[in-house]
Amino acid sequence: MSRFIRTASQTPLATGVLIFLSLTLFGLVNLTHADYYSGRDSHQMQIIYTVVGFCAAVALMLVDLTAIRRFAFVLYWVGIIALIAVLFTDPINQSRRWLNIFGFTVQPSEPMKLIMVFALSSHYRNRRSRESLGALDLATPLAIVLLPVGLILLEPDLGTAIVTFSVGFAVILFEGIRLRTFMTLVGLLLFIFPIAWKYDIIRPYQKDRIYLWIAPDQFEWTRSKKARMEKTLQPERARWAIGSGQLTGKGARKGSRIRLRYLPEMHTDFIVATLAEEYGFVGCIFMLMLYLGYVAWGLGVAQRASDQFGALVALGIVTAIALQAIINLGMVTGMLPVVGVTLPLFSKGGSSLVVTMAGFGALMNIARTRGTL
Amino acid sequence: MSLLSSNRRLEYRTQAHWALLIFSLGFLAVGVRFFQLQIIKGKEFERLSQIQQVGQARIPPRRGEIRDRNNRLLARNVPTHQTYLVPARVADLDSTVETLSSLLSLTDKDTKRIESEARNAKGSDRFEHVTIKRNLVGDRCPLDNNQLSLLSSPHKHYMCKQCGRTFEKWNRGLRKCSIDEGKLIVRDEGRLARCKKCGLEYLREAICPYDGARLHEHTSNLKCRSCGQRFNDEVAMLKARKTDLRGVKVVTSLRRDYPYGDLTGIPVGYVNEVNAKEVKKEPDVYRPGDIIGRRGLERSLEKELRGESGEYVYLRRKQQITEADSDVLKLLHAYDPRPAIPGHHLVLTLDIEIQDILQQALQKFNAAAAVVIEPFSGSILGLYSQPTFNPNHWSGRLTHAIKRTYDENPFSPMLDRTSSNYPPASLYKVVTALSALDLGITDHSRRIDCPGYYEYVGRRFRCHKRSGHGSMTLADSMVESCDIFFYRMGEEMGMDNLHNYAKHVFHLGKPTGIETGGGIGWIPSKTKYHRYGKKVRFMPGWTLSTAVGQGSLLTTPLQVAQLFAGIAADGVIPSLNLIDHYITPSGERIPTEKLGPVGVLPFTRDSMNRIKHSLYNAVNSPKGTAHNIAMDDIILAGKTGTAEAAESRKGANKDLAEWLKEDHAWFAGYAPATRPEIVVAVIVEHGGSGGKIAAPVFRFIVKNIFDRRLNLPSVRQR
Repeated sequence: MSRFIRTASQTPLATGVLIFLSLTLFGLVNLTHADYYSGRDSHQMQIIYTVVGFCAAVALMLVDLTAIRRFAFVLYWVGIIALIAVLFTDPINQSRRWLNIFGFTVQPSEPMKLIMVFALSSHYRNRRSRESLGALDLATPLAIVLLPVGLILLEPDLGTAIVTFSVGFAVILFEGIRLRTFMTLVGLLLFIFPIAWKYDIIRPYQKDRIYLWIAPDQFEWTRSKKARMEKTLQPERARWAIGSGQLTGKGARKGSRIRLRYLPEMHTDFIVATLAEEYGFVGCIFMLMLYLGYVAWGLGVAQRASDQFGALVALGIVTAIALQAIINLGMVTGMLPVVGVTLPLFSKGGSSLVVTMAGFGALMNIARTRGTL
Repeated sequence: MSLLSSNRRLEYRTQAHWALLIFSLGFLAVGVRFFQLQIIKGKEFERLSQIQQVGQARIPPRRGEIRDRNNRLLARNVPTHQTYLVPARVADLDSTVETLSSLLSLTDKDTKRIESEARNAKGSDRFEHVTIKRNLVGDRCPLDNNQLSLLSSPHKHYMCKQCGRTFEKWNRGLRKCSIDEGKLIVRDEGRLARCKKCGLEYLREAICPYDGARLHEHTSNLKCRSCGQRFNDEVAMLKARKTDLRGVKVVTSLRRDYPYGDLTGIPVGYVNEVNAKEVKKEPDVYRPGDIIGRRGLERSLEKELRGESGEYVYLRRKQQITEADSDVLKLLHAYDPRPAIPGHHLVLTLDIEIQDILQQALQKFNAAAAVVIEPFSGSILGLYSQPTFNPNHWSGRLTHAIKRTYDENPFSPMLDRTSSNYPPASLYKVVTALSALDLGITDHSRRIDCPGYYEYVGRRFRCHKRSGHGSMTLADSMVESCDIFFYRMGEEMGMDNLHNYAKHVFHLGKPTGIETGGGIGWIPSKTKYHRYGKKVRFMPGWTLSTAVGQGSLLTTPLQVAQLFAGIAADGVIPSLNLIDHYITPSGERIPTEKLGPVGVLPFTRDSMNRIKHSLYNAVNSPKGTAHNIAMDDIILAGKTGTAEAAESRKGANKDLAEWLKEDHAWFAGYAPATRPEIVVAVIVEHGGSGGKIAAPVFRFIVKNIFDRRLNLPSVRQR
């Protein structure tokens, strides 16, 4: 394992670029195919966002890391203001997620993931002691994480909130945390969950998804639940699409048009259904290998980073990508309950794409500057 | 820059290893799951995906029916056939469209639209429906829904593919229309003849007189027994050619039908297809092809009538499901259909027989209107405007010939004259008289001499009787409709009093709540005399005009009926209503909220009785302006009105110009005079004298209603 990381981290920057570009291209082609079934033209905007994302990546690659570190908290507060502003917009599908800036709709929760990683890493930049952190030392970092998570929950956007929280918590874990404190936190979470369940902080429809996930056979379909059948039956339909791909898939643009058309979120959360049906198991494994390669390369970058800030940022960015991919794929294949998490670089959505590419730029920046050691 | 110590680096290395381990396990789990779904269960899912092609369909709601007070259907739903094409399933588009064009007499525009829509459909749009034609002819007449009968020999006629018009063949010697025997009027130097009655056109040569295109010959094999129109059995033709027309579907749905046709045009209104804008505005409610109320009750009660659409989900290729596919069946279970909720039925206070009487009474006039209401409840029994329109024509079945008859009629058949503005003229004397009595300006014995004119600020206001009535009391001037007495009343009361009494005591110049035309009358005041146009300085003479119901004063027949109902009911002005109750889809009866009276006239019983007596005398005294209509069996009471309304219209021919110069003839009254059961307001536009023209109409209406012993509601609610 460690040899694998070492090789990955010692390979030139080109490895990272190659893997990342393959993922981006694969995602874009797949979205075009999804458009073919649905008759929409979402890939056109996605191409524009890819170009924007490349610019963001190049900018983050060339900028001085210290500058990012210094301005991390300025960015953080701008992000928080944007998250508050979003709560005052008109809801789309009962959720307020998008800000309209100069005709572009931006989802502030997406860049917030990256900014939060910057802010946390900036907070930890000068800690020299090797000791793991206790409960009191955790107050500030936890606040940095929980403020945006709370605002995202208010939108509401459970999926993004879970990812944001997990990424923040992971960065705190990377920095080190006392075992006792860790256990206390986990215990607290386990304690909060039943309370949240009891008092409907977890909404009824979210509960339904969990019920449906745990025991689909015993799930009782009431009338009101059937009214939301589209949402709840997606995993089922997506699973059929994935399964019907078999070993080598049906081939590009040879999927089942009608079923894919009735998969309402086929461009966003359930995008992998198209890929799995067209390219089968071989295509899915190829995609997983690309993700794993990118994650391994990123972790290598973290390991060889020249300073604490860079190392933590790299770890955070890699965690965000890996978590989103695993949660999304788990959800689509029915291993996890349905929470709205997109598949990075594959799902439609400008904000997510640009931020993922900007994260890649930051990784390149860290990889580039390790030479100063 | 805080460089990492080697210890710290070691620490992060450990974390990175842990992270890689955890993420690898995550990806591994996903990979295993993919293996399970795609390799182990792949075959099964593949088969399932063959079967489970889930389709969703919408169940359109049934629109509520409308009935009159005696439960006769005024608006109903009858089956109609439509045909459309699914581009993905069509084998050869060119030949399909060509066959359709000849079978269904499509115009070039239609064929082009169908071709381009079918060709331009991409991706999943190729499974969407392209409409070919609506309201196909089956076994019933699309105009009046009567059974069609087969013609003994097929009838041939011409059709222009460019403009869509149809023409009959004009055999030499044909003088009368073959459908309704209307006289043929020859035009275009003998090439074209048009039926005066139905507008059908006859041609000698197969060339379209409108655009010069070569005409195609078409055959009809069906004829409607009642209207005489000929049709082709399009549904049968399509079904017979089913094998050639792959991808062409015929669907049966419901359309709106109005069995009483033009009798219900004004109150009920009509429906037609929603437009793209309305679909965009309320996408959950309307889909393209749905109908929406456009006029009258159909429009104002659209929400109650339309109901709510349902939805069902079906599996395509259902036959492939076996018992073993319990998963699939369970899925289908999850998709329980959501039934459509039908709209409410509507029961009106209207009586269709009274509508029929009104039509008979008014049909000899160019333009007229009549309103019949119950004085105590304010229920509308009849509401008719002449000329009127047939809602069946406007509910999406308007042909060129019919449209032309509407467009070319100079008397605006689409106008609702029951809620159009007219000067009330002498009818208004009732208002002026009661106001003057209330103000104490006059009593019942005051006499004013009528020399035939009235001098006021250097101008002579004339009485309608040029030689003068002589010395008159208030009652006399009501009966003989002397203007001079009321000029004096107007002068003494002043404009402000006239305005305030009309607006706030008699509640005129306000909507009655059931207008479909939009006129709500106009009560002038000193500050704003004219309804439209610039504000002008008030002229004192206008007060006199207002006092006799002229000048810029305007009322609608509905308002006049309401006013006379108030007088008939001893001062309680009822609010008008047209809807008696709703019936829910489950058969439950929901009465509409009955509104209380609009207002109560605050006059003494003596004043009211004397005014009522004057109205009685206007008909029954030998001197009365409407003495010609007095009857022995039913005692009538009412007031005539002759409104000066000479107008000119651009491009009017001589006959029309002459007609426009005449006065409007009014009559409003109630019967029986002792115990009023109905109130009738009649206006004949440019008819002439109220007593000579409008009063006989009133008599005709009342006589017929009482002769037929119609189920009049009990009015003994005093």
